[in-house]
Amino acid sequence: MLKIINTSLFFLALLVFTSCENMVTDVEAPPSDPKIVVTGFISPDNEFNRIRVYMSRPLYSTYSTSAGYPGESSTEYKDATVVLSDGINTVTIDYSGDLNGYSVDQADFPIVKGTTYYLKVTAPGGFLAESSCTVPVDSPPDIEVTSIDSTNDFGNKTIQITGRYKDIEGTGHNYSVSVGTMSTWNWNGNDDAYFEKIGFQNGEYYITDEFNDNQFFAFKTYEHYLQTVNSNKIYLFLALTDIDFYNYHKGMDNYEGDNPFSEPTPIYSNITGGVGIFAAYNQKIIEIEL
Amino acid sequence: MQNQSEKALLNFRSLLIKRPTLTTFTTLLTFTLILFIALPISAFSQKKYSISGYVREKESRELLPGVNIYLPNLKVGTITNNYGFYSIVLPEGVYEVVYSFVGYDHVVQSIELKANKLVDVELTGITLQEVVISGEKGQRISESTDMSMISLPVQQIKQLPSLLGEKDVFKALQLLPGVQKGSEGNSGIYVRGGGPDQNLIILDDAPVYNASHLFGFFSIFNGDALKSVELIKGGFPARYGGRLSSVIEMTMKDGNKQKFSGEAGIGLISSRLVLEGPIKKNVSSFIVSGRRTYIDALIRPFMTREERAGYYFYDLNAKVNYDIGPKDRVYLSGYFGRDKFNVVTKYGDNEREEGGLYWQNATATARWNHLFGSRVFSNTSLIYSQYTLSIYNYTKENQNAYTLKYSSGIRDLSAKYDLEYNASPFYHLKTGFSLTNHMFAPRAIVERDDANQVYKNDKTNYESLEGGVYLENNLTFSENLKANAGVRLSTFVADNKNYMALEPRFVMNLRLMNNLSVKAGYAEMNQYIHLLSNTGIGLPTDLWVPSTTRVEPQHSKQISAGIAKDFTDSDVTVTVEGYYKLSDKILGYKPGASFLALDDPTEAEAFTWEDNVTAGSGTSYGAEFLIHKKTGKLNGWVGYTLSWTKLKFDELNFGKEFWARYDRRHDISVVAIYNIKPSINFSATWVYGTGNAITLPLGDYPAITHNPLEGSGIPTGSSPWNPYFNYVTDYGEMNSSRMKPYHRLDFAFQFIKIRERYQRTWEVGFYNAYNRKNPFFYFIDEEYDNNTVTTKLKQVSIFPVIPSVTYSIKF
Repeated sequence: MLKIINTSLFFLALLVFTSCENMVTDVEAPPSDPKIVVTGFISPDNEFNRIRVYMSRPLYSTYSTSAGYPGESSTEYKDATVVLSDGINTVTIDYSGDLNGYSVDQADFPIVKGTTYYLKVTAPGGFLAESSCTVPVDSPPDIEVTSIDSTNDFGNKTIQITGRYKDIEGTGHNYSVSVGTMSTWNWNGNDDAYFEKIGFQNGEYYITDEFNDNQFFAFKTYEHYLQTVNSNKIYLFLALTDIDFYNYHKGMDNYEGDNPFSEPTPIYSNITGGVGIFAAYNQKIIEIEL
Repeated sequence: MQNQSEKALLNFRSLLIKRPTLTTFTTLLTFTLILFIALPISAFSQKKYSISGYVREKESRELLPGVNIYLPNLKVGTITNNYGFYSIVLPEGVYEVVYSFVGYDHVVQSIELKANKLVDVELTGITLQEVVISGEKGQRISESTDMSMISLPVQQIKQLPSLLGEKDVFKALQLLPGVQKGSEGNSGIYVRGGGPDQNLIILDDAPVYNASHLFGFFSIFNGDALKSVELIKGGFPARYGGRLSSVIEMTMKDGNKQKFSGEAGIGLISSRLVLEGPIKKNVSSFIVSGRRTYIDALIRPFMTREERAGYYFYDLNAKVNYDIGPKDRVYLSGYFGRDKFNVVTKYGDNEREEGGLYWQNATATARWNHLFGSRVFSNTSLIYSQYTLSIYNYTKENQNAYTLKYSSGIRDLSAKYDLEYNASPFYHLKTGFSLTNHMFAPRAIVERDDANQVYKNDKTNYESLEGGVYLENNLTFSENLKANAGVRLSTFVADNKNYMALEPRFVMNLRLMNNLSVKAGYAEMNQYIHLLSNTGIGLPTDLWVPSTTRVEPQHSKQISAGIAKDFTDSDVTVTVEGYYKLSDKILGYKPGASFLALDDPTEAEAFTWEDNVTAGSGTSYGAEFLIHKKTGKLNGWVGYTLSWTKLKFDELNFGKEFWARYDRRHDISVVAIYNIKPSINFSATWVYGTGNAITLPLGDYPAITHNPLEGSGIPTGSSPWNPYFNYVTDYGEMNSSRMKPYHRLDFAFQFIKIRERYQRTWEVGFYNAYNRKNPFFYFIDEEYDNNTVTTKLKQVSIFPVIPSVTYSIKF
């Protein structure tokens, strides 16, 4: 179906370009400077909470091909000053090379339900980014796993999981659900574990109860092939999040990149003086042995 | 009773000078009701009679709407309605009555009024040889209670230069002040900051839902079958409702009642034919008009047998009418148009794949005009309108066939009743109601898979009911003060939710001196149906949806004020108008919203468009200036608009106000039609507009999503691969950049020759005559030079200078 639409759009584009290449001209670009990018998701359920600081890559500039396009590592700020506060206590968080970010242990700076946290990041170049978030008061509801269908297909095992949870009464609750298994990645000759998320055939990864108060939210995963080296564990995560967490992830979930025929889709941000997200959640994890 | 009506007038005058309060509306309603009861009775209480009848064009006996009927001695008058009927009530006496209309010789009749009198009048069209101005040409704009309303003579539209020679009503409307076009070449219309979905487009009483051909480059109205085109931008009369920004009303011709005649034309991309004539002379007539493009036929020789693609559109208008007697007349009219794009691929003898999309509009209207006595005119309409988009895919491999068809659309069934009552020269009432059953079909899937025995036919339909009752009072308080005060009660029932709203409408005209008046108007509008656009450029995949419990109706309030001046000697009108419009609950799209519902159309999941929209508000204000000359050797207009349009959504642009995409600070149109000699016409248009507001990428950045394992204590190893790390585009604030300004000159020559049995016209035109590279869209490009890469912003233009030739005959 999309192919047909794309073909017809191609036809439209053909009409656009029939007028020949000199109908494409340079135009003056708007000023584009680097911005500070701050990301942090804090939770009382974490052993540590991490803030990550990067720099955006401005367009309309010239760079050397020999140096390569500025990559992930070159845009990371490792010498920023990251200050987290609950209004009474304040902590300046150091950069941790192991964790690729500014990380503080729960024991050193506890995140507490119902508390508002303020983040202030300063970085060389005169950058100042600020944000705040409030940890939801409630704990996430229980997830009810309604079925785990497992099939053996010529030695390959597939699973399909369905489940549901009931929204907490009253509006203002937002949820994030993830289901997955541990997979392996061969890295420098060693098998290394990583979490592999399983997509949903039905249901939403991120949902708000704005129009669905006190309802059951159900989900069903796609059939998922378990690799032979997998551990036989399924993980289900249900997070009760603040609204910024929901808006940001919903936008990321829908993000489709640039398309001249569609309206641009900026990603939600709650960082003043930069872009990114600073949000809070409470999370419940279920581990199921297969 | 006389005292009662005087009291009502006093109440009303005091109302005008008072600051509007919450009780203003109640007072207005009371006043309206008193007038409704009192004035007609007071009118009956004196010895008065009516002059009424129909005004027709002499040659074809086509009924003429908008003809001015004026009594110079009394300085009162009226105009014919959409069906060419007029009625005026006067005391016994002898009157001189002048009938005048743009493009026609005026007629003066002396009438002795001793009883109700039926006076049908025929006006003779001014021929090309007689383009001299004489006397009155139509209703003086300074005397009318219409405001923010422009009627464009169809003949003027047909003389304008056009893209590829295709005459287009909507592109002519885009040349008027207060009306912005969308992107280059697009026929979408943006009125006073409103979107194209906020225009009520009516063809013979039927709403048209997708008025574009060829992905928006042409509108479906070519002017051949049209009698009149009228645009209302504010001060909406109460008879109209259902959209926020404008009313574009088009009336189809009735067909020549005297003789068989026609018109045919051949252009670069399409041909057209109009045939009209009497079914029974002077009693009944018909008109049929058709147009079809032949791009598909022209490119076919260049394609292989194995792979073929094609595109065409056609449209067809038809109308018949029948005079049952002096008091009854019926009309049947319809429109059908379709665009189709398809691709066929053959793989050997036994395998074939075909896919395509088509979209089509169909409207049908049955109307019955009836006269109750000589003063009351009624019209009953039954209306059908449907818009459908279909995308299909068909594959055949040996004996197995696979078909997948996706459709969406909207279907309306309406009943409408309008009544006009001429109580006196000072009071004219219009009232009526309409009821529409909308059926929205956002998604219908048909799947046939012979190989896997899958047969699916899923449909999702939503029905709703929209209703409106209105009352319009045209009041003449004195020679210098007139008003049109009305109210509309609109309702909408859908999704177990009932919306109801009272919409006050008011226009006042205060004449300051001869031919100069000040006008002011106020209108509230509600829009119960919404258009979801995937692209914002008006593709046929855009989807109409109803208001629901979650998505409330859109609402607007608009005040407008201005001056109108007629220069009768030169037949020039000048209007200057300012407006301020507040819109509420207008729809915006959440970041990443998609309404195509086509990624996997066979998916059983419900269509959840409500999750993807967000409500906000809009503010538009500006000033419009128009000098319009409708007739004469040199005619045309100059329009200038200075305007601002801002939007605000809690969920967009971080809650901050931003410019609408089609916010345009300056917009200029110069339109000139010059009859060099009877056999040669020259026409030219020049337009200028501030560039569209756009959101440009400023850079990109890593947008990291939440990893549910982070900090959870579950060992995840040390893999550098991170599925939660994506680069996204940084756009900065919404619509904070501007495209380059748009300007363009078009011109055309028409060479006319009158032969014994027909008249032929050659038209040679140039679109974008000085080859301006106007922006269509911007994109980012990378330029490599030795060891460096430079990222640049590029502009794509689509139309260079485009010449066109068309040939037409009229017989």
